[in-house]
Parts: sequence; C-alpha cells; structure tokens
Amino acid sequence: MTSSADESTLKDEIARLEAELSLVRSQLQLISSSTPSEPDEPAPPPPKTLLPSHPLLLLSDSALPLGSFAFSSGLESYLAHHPNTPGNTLAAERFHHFLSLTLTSLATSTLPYLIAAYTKPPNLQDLDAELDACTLCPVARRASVAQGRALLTLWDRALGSEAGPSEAATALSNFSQAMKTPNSRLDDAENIALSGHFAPVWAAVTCALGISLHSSAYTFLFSHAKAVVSAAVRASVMGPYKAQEVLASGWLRGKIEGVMGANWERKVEEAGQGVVMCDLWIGRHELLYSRIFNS
Amino acid sequence: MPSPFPSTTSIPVPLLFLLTYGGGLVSGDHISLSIRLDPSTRLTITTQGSTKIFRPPVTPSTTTSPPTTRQDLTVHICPHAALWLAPDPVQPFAGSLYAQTQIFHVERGGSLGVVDWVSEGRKARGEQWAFEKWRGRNEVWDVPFGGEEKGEVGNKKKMRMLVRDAVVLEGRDIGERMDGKGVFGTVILRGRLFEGLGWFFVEEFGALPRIGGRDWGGAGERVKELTDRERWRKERLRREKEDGVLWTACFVRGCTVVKFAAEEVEGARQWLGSMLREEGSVGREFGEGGLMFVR
Repeated sequence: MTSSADESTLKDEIARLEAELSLVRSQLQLISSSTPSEPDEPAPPPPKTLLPSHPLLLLSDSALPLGSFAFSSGLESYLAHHPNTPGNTLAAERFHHFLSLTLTSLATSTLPYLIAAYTKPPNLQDLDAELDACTLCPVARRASVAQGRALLTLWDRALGSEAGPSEAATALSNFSQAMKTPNSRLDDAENIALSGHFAPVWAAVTCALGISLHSSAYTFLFSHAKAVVSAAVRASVMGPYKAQEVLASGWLRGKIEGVMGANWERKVEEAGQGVVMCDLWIGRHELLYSRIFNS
Repeated sequence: MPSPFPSTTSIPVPLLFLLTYGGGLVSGDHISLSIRLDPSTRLTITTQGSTKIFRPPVTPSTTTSPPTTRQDLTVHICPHAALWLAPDPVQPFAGSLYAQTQIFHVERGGSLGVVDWVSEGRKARGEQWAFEKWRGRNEVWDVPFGGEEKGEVGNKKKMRMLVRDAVVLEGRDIGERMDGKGVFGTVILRGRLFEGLGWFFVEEFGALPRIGGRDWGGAGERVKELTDRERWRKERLRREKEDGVLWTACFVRGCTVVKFAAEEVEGARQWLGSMLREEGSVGREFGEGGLMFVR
C-alpha cells in the first residue's frame, strides 16, 4: 500500500515538474524570440503551437453559413408547452433547464456518431445511414440534415481545397460525390441512401482540417448551445448580455464537459435518446400556432 | 383471388403471454426469446400486468457493480405474417438496472406492431424514475421477400435497418428530465396490416389543436353538428388534457412511429385504448386479445 502510494505521489510530482518545465521553456522561447538581436529587425513570429487553431476559429464562428440560426432544437416548442403563468418558474430558470436537457440529449444520441466518424472516417456513409435510422423525429431530422448538407457544401466550395490529403478528406469527397449521384438522395422510405447528417459530416470536416477530437466534440456541443441561446434571445427569453453571460458561464462549461465525459466511451450501438421529452417537444413543434424557427 | 391475409373470424389469433416468476425480474435475470412467424400466420404477445424490475440486493462493500437485468427478443416475420406485441409497461423499481433489446426482422409483405412503454416505478412508494439505469432498443430490419430462405438474415448487405428506437436513461437526474410525466412509450408499425392504424395516428396528430393558438369560436358561430368521429375526438382531447398526455406520430423510413408520455400509466392506457378501439383494426385483425393490455 505505502509503496504504491509513494509511487503515485512521485508520478504526480514528475508530471507537475514536467508541466512546469515546459511552461518555463515556452516563456524562454517567447523572451528569446521577442528579444531583437538588432533593434530595427521585426520580431520573428511565435512558434505555431502558441497560436490558436485557425480552422477551429473558422468553424466555431456563428457566421459560418450553416443556417443553424433557423433551428431552436425544441426550445420554441418547450416554451409553448410551458407558458408563463403565475407561480411558474422564471423564464430564465426554465431556459437553463432546457439547455441542460438538450445538451444531454445531443450527447447521448449523437456524440457517439461524431466520435465514430472522426475515429474512422471511411465509415462515414454507414454512420450517416445508421444515424438516420435512429433519427425518428422528422423535425429533428430536417435540422440535422440541413446543417450537415450545408457544411458539406462549404467543404466542397471553400474548406476542402486548403486541407491536405487525408482519409477524412477522401471520405468527404466520396460522400459528396455519392450525394450528387441520382437516386441516392431520394427520401422515399423504401429507397433510403445518404442523408448528410450534421454530426458525422462535422466529424469528418474537423478531422480533415486537423482539429483534435476533443476540440471537435467540445465545439460541436458548444455551437449547439450557442444556437439555442441565440434562439432564446430571438424568442425574447433573455437579452443579448444575459445570453453572453450564459455562454461565458462556468455552469455551461461544466455542463458540456460533464455530458462529454459521461458519453465519451459510448459506442454507436449504445447511443440513444437520453431525454425522451425532447423527442416529444421537437416533434410537436409542428403543432405550434405561430413559429419563428424551423425546429 | 384469395386475400393474402386470411380472415381471422374462423381461426382466432393465438395469444402468447410473457410470464415472469412472481411477475417480475430480479437482478441478473437474463431472458432471451427468439420467435419466428411462418408465412401467413399471426400472433399476439402480451403480458398480464406490468413487468416489475427489482433492484439488486444491497450487499455491503462490493467492488463490482451489480448485474443488469436483461430481456432480449428477436423475431422473424415471414411474408404475410403479422405480429402484434402489446405488453403492459415495464416498471423499473428504485435502484434497478435494466436493459432490453427487441430486434424485428420483417420480410417484405410481413407486418409488425409494437408497443413499448416504461413507467416511473412504484408511484405509491414515492418512486419517480429512481432506477439506476434503463436502456431500451427496438430495431426494425427490412428483409427482402424470401430473404430468410436465401440465407440473407444476418447479412447486413441484404438487410437494412429501417428504424432504431433507442433510449438510454442513466445518471442522477432522470426524474428532472421527465417533466412531471410518469410514463412514456413508443408504438412502431410496419407493413400492410398496420397501414390503416399508422394513417390514423398520423392524421389524428395532424388534427390536434394548435399550441398557443386562440379559440376564435365565439357565441356568434353557428353550432355545427358534430360527426361521431369529431365527438370522439373532442372527448379524447379532453382526456388528453386531463391526463397530461403528450404525443407525436409520423411516417419515417417505411414505418409509423408514435411517441407518447402521460402523467400516469392509467392515463396513457386510456389514451392508447381509445385510439386503438376507435380505429378498430387491431380488434378486428387480432381479436380482443390484442386489446387486453389496454383494458
């Protein structure tokens, strides 16, 4: 017992010292690189590893033309099912509750497909077909497919040419080729082919652009939260500053990290709906008397 | 030309009861059932009460997690055969661990109707979604006509998964995800025999009142003579509101999928029974045995 405790203490100590060493090294690197040898010469650029990931900044931009703003992921329907009545909890509280539910739902049902497609890009078409069989709500399907196809178009027209050759890049070009061939896009029930769901396409694109799996998954979930928060602003649940406060909050970070951790090991065969009410709210979006969003 | 579906007035549809010792399953029980419906046969499977899932015994200082209770069902449905699987809900007690998988291979021309529902536990004891883990998976596979004889069952190139309805409930916050509902479920329908019922659900879903709309019907409006169907619908909607029933229905990938939730099992039972009796085909094609579970 004592020896193993000592061992782990020592290991921790080594890890701590190593981290400290690399920090000091990078500081030295910064100082030496920013100390001009000749006073008039411009400073050489800092090492690449100290710069943020360029493609990640691009993909996390809410101006990315995926049309994500058109979907509320059930928020609009949820609010309609929980109208403001005296004694009801505040809209902001209900919003936090919904945001937490929708992140759980996305992580249990869809995150495994993202991870699988990122890990094995050649399986992209099979994963897309399997995810389609699991997406039983037409409203949710529309939202996923609209964003996935938009990202695929973006890949074809803008992102693909900059990415070097890779398994993921090949999988994406095959996928988009197959989408264009006649009959493969038929939504006819008896002739199902490719759909272009968001999560697997996102995984392949981030993989092809060299974004790490953790960053890819975190950004996918965070972008979902951003879209729902933005929908809340337009549905007058909260103002723009409150919205940024939610997005900046440790609560949201913890939530995303929590659902990622709880579902990281989940295989696609074990993926499933974790919040059954989400299916009902999203499905009943079609019954709303007036609608701002498409989901 | 004889009808591909023999009339059931002469031969009653056999009724298969799934019985468990003491009406429930204990920790570690694993039931595995495989059923084949020959061409032009029919079968109803039901239960005589909810399937209780007991919690594992509390044993102090165990390091291994207690075993999960499992039920696996695989059914092959030949052409012109029809299965109606309509049990009472599964009732997972507090602390229980449960996983069920139901796989249906439906050859072209075969028909399948499944009801799968879960309750919150022993409400009288204050249990509300207090189980440890609940997993459910229903898969409907499309098998080509005569695919079984050609040995195509199990060949993923020849068979196609039409829908996978999977639910994964794990974690400490399951009750919070249920929005006050005490039961939820799914109905999946496939094949000619259930076509009418599928349309009925989808059309009744479309006829639900808009959410958030106003009732403009004033005193000045002429009182319309209601048809029988309209009278029934009015009464059903009143009950839905009273029992907190929420539901959706849609056609997806060659199947009809209905999702429902209600505050209590009896409310859901009442709703389901009302829908099935009004449409009538289950009673007509499978006899009263097919409606036992909603009595």
